[in-house]
Amino acid sequence: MSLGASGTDAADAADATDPAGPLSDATMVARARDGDTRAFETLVRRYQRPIYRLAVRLLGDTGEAEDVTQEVFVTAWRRLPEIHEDKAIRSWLYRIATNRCLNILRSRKPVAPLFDEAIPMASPAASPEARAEAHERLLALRVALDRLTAEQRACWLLREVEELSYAEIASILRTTPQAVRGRLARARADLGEAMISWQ
Amino acid sequence: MAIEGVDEAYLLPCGQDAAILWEHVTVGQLDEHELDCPHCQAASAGFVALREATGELAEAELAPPRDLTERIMRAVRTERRRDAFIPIADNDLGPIRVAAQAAAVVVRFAADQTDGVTARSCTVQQLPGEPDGWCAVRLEVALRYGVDGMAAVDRIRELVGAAARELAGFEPAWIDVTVVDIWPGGRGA
Amino acid sequence: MNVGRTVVETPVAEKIAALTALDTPGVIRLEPSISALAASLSRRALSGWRGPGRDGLPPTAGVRAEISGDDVSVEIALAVELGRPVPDVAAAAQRRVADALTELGGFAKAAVEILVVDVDHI
Repeated sequence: MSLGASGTDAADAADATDPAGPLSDATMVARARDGDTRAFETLVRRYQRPIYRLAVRLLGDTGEAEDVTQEVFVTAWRRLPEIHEDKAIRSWLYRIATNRCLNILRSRKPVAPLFDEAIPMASPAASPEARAEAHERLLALRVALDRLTAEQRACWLLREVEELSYAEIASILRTTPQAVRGRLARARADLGEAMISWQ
Repeated sequence: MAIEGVDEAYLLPCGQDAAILWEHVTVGQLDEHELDCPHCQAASAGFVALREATGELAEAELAPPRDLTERIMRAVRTERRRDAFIPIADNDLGPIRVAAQAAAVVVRFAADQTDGVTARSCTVQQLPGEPDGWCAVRLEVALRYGVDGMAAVDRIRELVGAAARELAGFEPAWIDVTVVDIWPGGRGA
Repeated sequence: MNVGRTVVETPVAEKIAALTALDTPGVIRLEPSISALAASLSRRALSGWRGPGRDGLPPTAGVRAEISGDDVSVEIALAVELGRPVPDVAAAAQRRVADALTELGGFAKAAVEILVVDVDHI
């Protein structure tokens, strides 16, 4: 299982991509479980970006996403003794984060805020026209994502952005891989439709 | 509620399954119907735009605030267990004690100095009935493939023993080393 | 000649201990525990503190002092820099804090207990 290299510090990503290497997740989890805060800090540095990114995109609010990210890691620290498969930390963090975000969304008033995340421009190398177009397209996707149900959005983000497997997503959302497949198909269809009207 | 799974199939007005069209768009091979049908054409244009926007979303930099790691670690440190301390000195001013977890950090640090060795789990415990600071060390290590296990363990004992006494201040009366894993070395070692 | 009595309150004794301990080479930070934080909060009812992990921990978190008559006893939880000899760093912190409490705080006798809670890189 590879780590999405785009979202992690390069050095940490290199360590983590070698699941058997000396600085593997398994090593860090084993150490952290004994109370080694330095080992835990390595895991925080390795995974805080993807967890924060997921939380921002699920919640649409950077302040709440920061709080969730902090809660996820403090919860993980408390519950480290429960992890039996040391290599499974990544998927476990995603599970805590997803469920925390879904709970927040359920308890929210029906009116969901739009994303307050700054929308980055496309790469500076592109022409101004291409950049404007990419910007518009990204905005269209954000608006469309906001119209999905929270579960669909979680499913779609975990698969298409975080690149988790169907089995991992199913275990995070406590459902079956078939159901994940179904939700994903539905989410893609809805998003695709929204993208047509934007063009 | 619809039953999830097969029943969730999402059909276009022409009857085509959107999931199948998505697969075809992904591999870039539309079938005859999809190439002719206006519904499929519109939907596949949407899918192409979605794929591009998804790539942009995935690549967009979205970094947490710089101080988030420190905030998390501060919270984590206050939550650390503080039940086991090893007495390492007691003078006229008062006792000095080291948390068993802090002693374990020193042990791991020492073991890591051995070439081809990575410390995993480690515990340090004051031996009951023994003088203050006399401890049992239990250490699990992973070795790089190709490393001589017996020699490495001897070296670990030596380094851990010295670090325990000089850096941590306790007496390692018992050092238990278990090799729990082997990791592949670089370049087919 | 009776010049009166100097009164040093507990928070001041804690502050002297905290600053002196932090000033010791090899001591990298104090280590507040949740229960110590709770105790120090209820005693001083600090306002504006937003919980562990947030900014603005009380500067003496990790230190607990008790004054009894002219004597003081403090307990200091701290972290030592990895690679430095813990016993030496802890003993130095202990000695410095005791001296500071008698010299700056005016206590007759200072007992100092050191808890090394963590060993870490700077």
